[in-house]
Amino acid sequence: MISEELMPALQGIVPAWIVTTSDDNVPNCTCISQVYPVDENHVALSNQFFSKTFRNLQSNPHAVVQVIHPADIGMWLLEIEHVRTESDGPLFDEMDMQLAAIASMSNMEDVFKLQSAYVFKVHSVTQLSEALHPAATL
Amino acid sequence: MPELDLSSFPEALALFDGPISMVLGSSNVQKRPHFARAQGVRRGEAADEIVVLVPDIMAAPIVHDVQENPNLATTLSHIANFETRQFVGVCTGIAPAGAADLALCDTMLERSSEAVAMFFGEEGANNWKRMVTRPAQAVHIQVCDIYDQTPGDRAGAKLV
Amino acid sequence: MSEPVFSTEIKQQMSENQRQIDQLNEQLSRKTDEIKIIQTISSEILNTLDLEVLFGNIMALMHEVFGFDYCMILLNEGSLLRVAASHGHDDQGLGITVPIGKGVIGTVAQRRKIMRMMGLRMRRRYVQKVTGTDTEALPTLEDADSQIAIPLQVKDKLVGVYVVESEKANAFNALDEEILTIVSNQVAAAIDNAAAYRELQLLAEANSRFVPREFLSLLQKESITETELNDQTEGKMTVLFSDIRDFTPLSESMTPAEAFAFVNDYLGTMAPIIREYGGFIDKYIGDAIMAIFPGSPQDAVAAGLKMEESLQHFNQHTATAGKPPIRIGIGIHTGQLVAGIIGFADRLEGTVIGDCVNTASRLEGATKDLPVSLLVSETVVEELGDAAEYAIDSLGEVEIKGKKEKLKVYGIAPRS
Repeated sequence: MISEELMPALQGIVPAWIVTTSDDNVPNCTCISQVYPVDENHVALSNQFFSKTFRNLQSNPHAVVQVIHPADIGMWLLEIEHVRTESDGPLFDEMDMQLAAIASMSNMEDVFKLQSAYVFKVHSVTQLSEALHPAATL
Repeated sequence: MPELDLSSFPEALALFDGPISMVLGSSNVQKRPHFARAQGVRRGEAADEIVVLVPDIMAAPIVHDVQENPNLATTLSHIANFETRQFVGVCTGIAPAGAADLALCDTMLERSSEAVAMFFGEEGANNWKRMVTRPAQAVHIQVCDIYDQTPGDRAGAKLV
Repeated sequence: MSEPVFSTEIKQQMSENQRQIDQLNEQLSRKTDEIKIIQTISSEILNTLDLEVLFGNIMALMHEVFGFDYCMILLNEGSLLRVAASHGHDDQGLGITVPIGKGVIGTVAQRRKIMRMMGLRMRRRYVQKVTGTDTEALPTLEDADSQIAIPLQVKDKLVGVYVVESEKANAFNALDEEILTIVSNQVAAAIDNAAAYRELQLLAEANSRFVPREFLSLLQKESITETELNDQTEGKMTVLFSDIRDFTPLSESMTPAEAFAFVNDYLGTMAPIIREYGGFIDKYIGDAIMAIFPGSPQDAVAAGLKMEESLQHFNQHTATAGKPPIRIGIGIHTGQLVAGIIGFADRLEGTVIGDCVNTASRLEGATKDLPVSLLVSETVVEELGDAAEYAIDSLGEVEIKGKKEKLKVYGIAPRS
C-alpha cells in the first residue's frame, strides 16, 4: 500500500497534517513534523506535543493524514487507524534517534525525548492529483 | 451564550495575513475524520465567524460531513515561524466562493510560495504555486474555541 | 495473415506485464552495478596502508562512483569525533570536532546506527522555535538539508563516522543508505588498518630512539619486536667515550631544570656528529656519551675531532647566555665486543659488553691529567689508515685500573 513512490513524502521534509476526532465528534487538525514509514501497511507518529491528537486516538483510532511529496509538492491522503503504541523496540529507537539528533543540536535532547511511537494501519492511500495544476511542460 | 469576538485574538488574526498552510477538518456521523487543504481564510460578518476557502477538488468530504455533523476545525500554521492556531466551531453555511474570495486565495498562495522558497528553493515554490485554488467553496464557521498549537510548551493550550 | 486482435483488457495486461519486466530488469542491473562497485572499492581502498592516500581514495570513489558530492570522514577520539578528511566542501573543516551524542553525526556515533536525515533546515528551525535556542552549527555544508551518517565499525570498535550530505532537501533514498551500509564495513576496516599501521610506525620510530636501528642491525634484527634476551653478536668495534670536564660544580650553579636543558643542548650538538660518522649512541650516562662505531676506528677519531670543533661553537653560543665555557674529554679504543640484549624478563636493554668498553672509558678519564682532550689507544693508532691526516702525539703509558700492563696512549689533533 505504501509504495516506493510515496516514500520521500514520509521523510519529514515537508510537514504533514493529521485530523482526528474526539469522542463527541469534534475534529482536530494538527501539523506534524513527520509521518514515519513502518512497513508496507503501517506508518507511525511520534507522541511529543500533540496531546489532543493522542487523547482523541484513545477513544477513536481513526485518523486521516496528509503528506506532501517533496519533489513535486504532490499531496497524498492516508486513511489510518491506530493499532498499537510502542515505547521500545527498533521502530521506537529509530524515531527516538532522529529526534535526539536534531534536539541535541540545541541541547534539548531531554525535552524532545520520544514518549511513544503510535503505529497505524494504513487503510487507503490516495494521491490528490487534481489538487495540483499539471507541471509546466519544458 | 456570550458571543466570542475574534478581535480579542490579534495574534490568531495576524496569521490570516500569511504566509500560512491551512487545513480544514470535518468528521462524519461514524466519527471518521476528513481532511481538506484550504487556500484562503478571512473573517466573516459576525464577530465570531471565519470563512475558510476550500477548493472544490478538496471540498466534497467536508460538504458531505457537515450535513451529518456541523463540527469543524481549521488550523493555520505560519510557514516560516511555525506559529499555529486552531479554530474549532460549527459550520453555519457553505456557498461557492465569489470573485473576491478567489482572488484572496490566489494572493495567499502567492505569499505562501514565497515562504516555501525559503526551505525548498525556487523549484519548490513553483510547485507550491501549482495548487489549484478555484473554483472553491466558502465554508462559514462560527468559532467556539481557539487553541494555540505552536510547537513547544504551549502546544494545545486552549485560548477560549 | 492478419494481425492478431487483442481486447483492451489483454492489451492492458500486456502493458502491465511489460512494466513489471522492465522493473525487474532495472533492479537486476542495479544489483549487478552494486556488485561491480563493491569489487572496485574492495580492491582500490584496501590497497594502501597510507591513511592520507586511503582517505583520498575513499572520497574519490564516493564521488566518482556513487555521485556523493559532499563527504566527510570523522575519526573517533573517545569522547569526540574529529574531521580527518572531507570532499567537496569549500572550507575543508579538517580538525573540527563533534562531541559524541551531538547532532546527526554525534548521535550516529553514540547509537552506532546509520541515520538518513532529510529536511534538516526545516527541522532545525522547528526545534529552534520549540526550544527558543539556536541550534549549533556542526561541521556540515553551510546549507546542508540532507545527511546520511553511518558509523564506521570494526567489530565492536567505533573507528569513526562517514557522512555524505547535500544542500538538497530530498537528496538521498533507501538505496543510498543501502550502498553506504554495504561499503562501510570495508571502509572501516581499511581505515582501522591504516590507522593501526601509522600507530605502529610511530611506535617503531619512538622505539628506535631508545634502541638504535644500527644496534638492531648488528643483531641482524629488523625490529625490536624480534629481539630476545641473550640475542648477541660479537665483533671488532670501536668505542668512543666522552664526558664534560668538571660538570658537577658547573651544574651546581644551575637549577635542575637549567642543568637538564644545558645537557640536552650539549647532547643535541654532539649526537648528530656520531651518526654523521657512521656510529650510534649506545647510551647516555648523564652528560657522558658512549658511542659504538662498527666500521673503521678512523670514523670514531674523525667524529671525536669534529666533536671538539663543535664544542667551540657550543661554547660561543652559551657564552652569549652568560654561561662559562666547558671542556670535554674523549677516549677511543678498538677491540672485541659483544653486542646483545641483557636484563631480565620485562626489563631488557640492548648494550655492548667487553673489556674494550672499560678501556675506552679509562682513556677518557685519563684526559683529566693530560694536556689533551682526545686520547686514543695504540690499537687505534695502528688501525688508522691514513695517519698523515692527523698530528699524533705519543703521551707515554698510563695505568688502567684492573690491568696489569700499562697502556700506550696517544693524543690526536687535526694536522693543520
